[in-house]
Amino acid sequence: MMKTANPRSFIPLRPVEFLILVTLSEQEHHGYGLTQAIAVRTEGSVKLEPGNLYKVLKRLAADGLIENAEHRVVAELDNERRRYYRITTLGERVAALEAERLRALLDSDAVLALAKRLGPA
Amino acid sequence: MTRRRTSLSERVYGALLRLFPPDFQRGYGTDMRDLFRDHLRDARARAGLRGVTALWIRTIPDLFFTGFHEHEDEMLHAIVQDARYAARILRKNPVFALVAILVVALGTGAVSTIFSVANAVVLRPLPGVPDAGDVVSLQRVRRDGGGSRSASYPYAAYLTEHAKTAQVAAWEMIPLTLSTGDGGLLAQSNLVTANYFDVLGVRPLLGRLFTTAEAGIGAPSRVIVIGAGLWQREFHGDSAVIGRDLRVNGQHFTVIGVAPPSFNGMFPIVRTDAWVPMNTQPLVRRGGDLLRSVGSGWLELVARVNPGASRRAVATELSSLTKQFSAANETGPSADIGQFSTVQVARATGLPMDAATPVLAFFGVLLVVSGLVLLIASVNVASMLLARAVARRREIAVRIALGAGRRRLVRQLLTESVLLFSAGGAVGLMLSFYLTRLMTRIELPVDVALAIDPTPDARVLMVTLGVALVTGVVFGLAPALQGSRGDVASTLRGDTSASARSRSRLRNVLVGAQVAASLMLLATSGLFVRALARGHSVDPGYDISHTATALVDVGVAGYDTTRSKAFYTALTERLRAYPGVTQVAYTRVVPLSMNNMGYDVAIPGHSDRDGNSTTNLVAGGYFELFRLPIIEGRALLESDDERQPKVAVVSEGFVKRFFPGASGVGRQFKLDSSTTVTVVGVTRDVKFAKLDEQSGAMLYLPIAQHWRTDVNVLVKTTGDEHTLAGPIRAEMHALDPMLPPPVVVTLERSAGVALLPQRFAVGVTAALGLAGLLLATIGLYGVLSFSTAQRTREIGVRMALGAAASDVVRLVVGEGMRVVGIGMAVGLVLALVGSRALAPFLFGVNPLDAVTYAATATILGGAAMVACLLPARRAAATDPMLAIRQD
Repeated sequence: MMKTANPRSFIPLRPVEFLILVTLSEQEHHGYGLTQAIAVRTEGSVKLEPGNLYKVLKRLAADGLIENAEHRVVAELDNERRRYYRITTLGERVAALEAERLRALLDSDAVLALAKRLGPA
Repeated sequence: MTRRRTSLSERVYGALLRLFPPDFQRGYGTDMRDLFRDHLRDARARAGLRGVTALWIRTIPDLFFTGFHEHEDEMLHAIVQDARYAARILRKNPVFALVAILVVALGTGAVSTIFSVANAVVLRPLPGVPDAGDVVSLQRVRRDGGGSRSASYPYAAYLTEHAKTAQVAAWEMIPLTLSTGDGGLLAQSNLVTANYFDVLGVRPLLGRLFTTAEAGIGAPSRVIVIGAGLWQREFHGDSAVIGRDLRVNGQHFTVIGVAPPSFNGMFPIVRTDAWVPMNTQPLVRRGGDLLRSVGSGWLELVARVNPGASRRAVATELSSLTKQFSAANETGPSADIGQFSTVQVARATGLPMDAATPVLAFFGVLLVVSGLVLLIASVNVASMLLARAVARRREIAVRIALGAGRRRLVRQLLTESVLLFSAGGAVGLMLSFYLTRLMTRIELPVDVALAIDPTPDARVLMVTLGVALVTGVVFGLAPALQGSRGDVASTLRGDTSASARSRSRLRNVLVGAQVAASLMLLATSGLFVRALARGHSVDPGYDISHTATALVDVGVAGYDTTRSKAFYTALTERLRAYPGVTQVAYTRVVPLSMNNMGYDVAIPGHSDRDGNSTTNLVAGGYFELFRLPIIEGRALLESDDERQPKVAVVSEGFVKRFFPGASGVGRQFKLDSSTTVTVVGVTRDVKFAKLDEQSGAMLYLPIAQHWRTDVNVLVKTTGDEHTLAGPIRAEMHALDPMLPPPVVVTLERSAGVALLPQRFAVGVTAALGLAGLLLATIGLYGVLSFSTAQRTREIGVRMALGAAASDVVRLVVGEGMRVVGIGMAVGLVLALVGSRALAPFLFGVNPLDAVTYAATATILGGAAMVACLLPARRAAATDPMLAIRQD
């Protein structure tokens, strides 16, 4: 059994880390799938280039928040083999904590008042 | 077709992946290439070639930034790892680490202290002036570059109005008497043009500074800006000071603003207490209305180079403006201004332009000297590291055997030395904080309040750290390369002789370098000692003992000629009545104070005009007071006043120069092309301004015929001249309680100003020389002890074969002294070449002074001998039987 780290010590996450964890919490992804899913989720505002993506994946893996799954053949990519990534239990806990933190922020008076003043975006 | 383009993009991408650290490539290279291929396919499907181009535009920065980031991470990781290991190793040898750190601290401390002082005096950009790099000093010189001339107000105003490449302002230092009602206070002030603060970009701390409201030379604007220091000292930082009435030289002025504490004028080492606008000149400064006089040069010029302009462009434009101005004003008393038509532009250093270069040279010499100490210290530590590398060769051989690469080992050993030097640099910096604090306590024999703050600033910090790091790498490299050159097999076998020879050669080079540096250091120190001794023993040609002097200017308190003459007559009578006082006199310039004044002298029928013959205005018993003999004719008398024909006493040198082969008495000359003066007496030649000057043509004029309200009162006593301050101040106060109490100094102390650079240099170089000698001696001793200890077995064998103890001593000492001798020879050659740079500071002591070098060599040789003898005698006491059985 690995030494378990305190999930709180990773909070706050960087936005891109949170996006990756949340996206992986639904299902395992290969790199391409991950960038596509994130682009959809953010309505195209976050486009991850390979260098940046794998820099973050490396960091998340080093922290034990994600892990490498096996290579699989992907039908829609001309049946090429791709490596899949999956979230760890620690990663899920950290993502949940981060979501809680963001929810608290969104529920704060300041944000509510801001929304009321400017109306729905 | 499409297949080829795709594969080209992919191939390029694959090549670019080498930007990443190998670990990253191994872990994610394939995945990244795959993902890129996926993106490429999308891009091509979406927008063809344009899409591919867009993808590449996104991809290149992504690769470079993340690649760089990953490298940084990896390097940082490695550095931290190395540093941790190095710190652990050093902790295991605390004595070694401590000694090395202290030795480095001594060297870096020396450099950083000297640099701090140089920084405070001349290097630091003007404090309180934003973008000080654009601020320049201006100076008018002759076409041949010789001689300079201060600016008149009309000239300064002409430049200000017409210059396109720079904004020009003018200023002058003047003393002002300030009072709020009860008693006066002497304030070192600046008279400045209304645009002065704007040009410098200074903003007020409180109130406002001068604006166009104070511009022009019509009615005086009776306003004053005070410095933050004066505001704290005299007004306790009360903001109600704005709008307050202040008497300036007896006139009512209004305080309109307080300058920020960081700003201290253009010569920031001299304290500036207050600023008044130029149009108040007739009220606050002697010399009548100077604002309309084209012929009087009295202002300093400062300019801010406009954006886009270069200094060269400014110099060109101002020079041509100067020529135009001279052409338009080439009549009357200002006839000579046409000669000064070249404008020199130089970075505003905070010193007068002609002083900046010698001061820089002086600090350059001291920096080199402190650098020598650092060199010795660094070499010392390098020797220690080298010796340790020998002691650690087993550890290193084991690491090599276990597969550590040489690069990795060198990096590790370098990290250790850099760590040592950084720690030493930090301690050295602390040392310099302490030393500069000590320095500010030294009271300088000058009559102005100084504001030198040599506390190390960020620039000193950077330099010290940089110096420590560079020396750490440079002096750690050789031992690291040596140390990592492990001959694994022989070392592990215990055979030590394999690489010993190249190590001992390196050790000898290091010892030789220390000896050479020490010799240079001691020689420099010795030359300054000789210069100081020479300075003390130089006979200026007159007697300055038992004399005190006080600078008095009743002009600043609003006295006119008649009132001021009466004041000085009364003061003289009162002071002469004091018991012990034998003589009272006045002089415009105090001898040996490095000050000088010059008049233009022209002899009818003599083509040689002397534009700068040394002149002094004197009165009272000046010649008796200084025991200056009158060789011919008579001295100046108190009856030589403005009603009598103009007369002068001249020196023998003056007679020799202008009336060769004849008697001087009765001859006439023109002063400033207007006044005809008759010589009534001849006195002997003296050294007037400085001790190292050549005695030359010297001219004494009666002050009553060339009246100035600012004079130095000279009082000679039979008793202790230090007690004269009380009576002088008391009598002045009795005559006019509104006059500020003058600064009173003894003449011997004032003359000490001339020796100040030498005294400072002797103090610094002697301390550094001693430190260097000590370090070098200890280094020599350490290295010799180490190498004899390494040779114990060999010495044992020699003794067993019949060598006597004296033979062993001779062997060891001979070997040590051979290295010392070579080091001394190298040092001597370098010192003889380098000492030329010292010549301007030596009072004529020959930089190749044989006595100095003989003494230096003797001291160094003696110390080296002791350092060699100790290990030699220990070696001679070796028990051969024990030594042979060792290991």
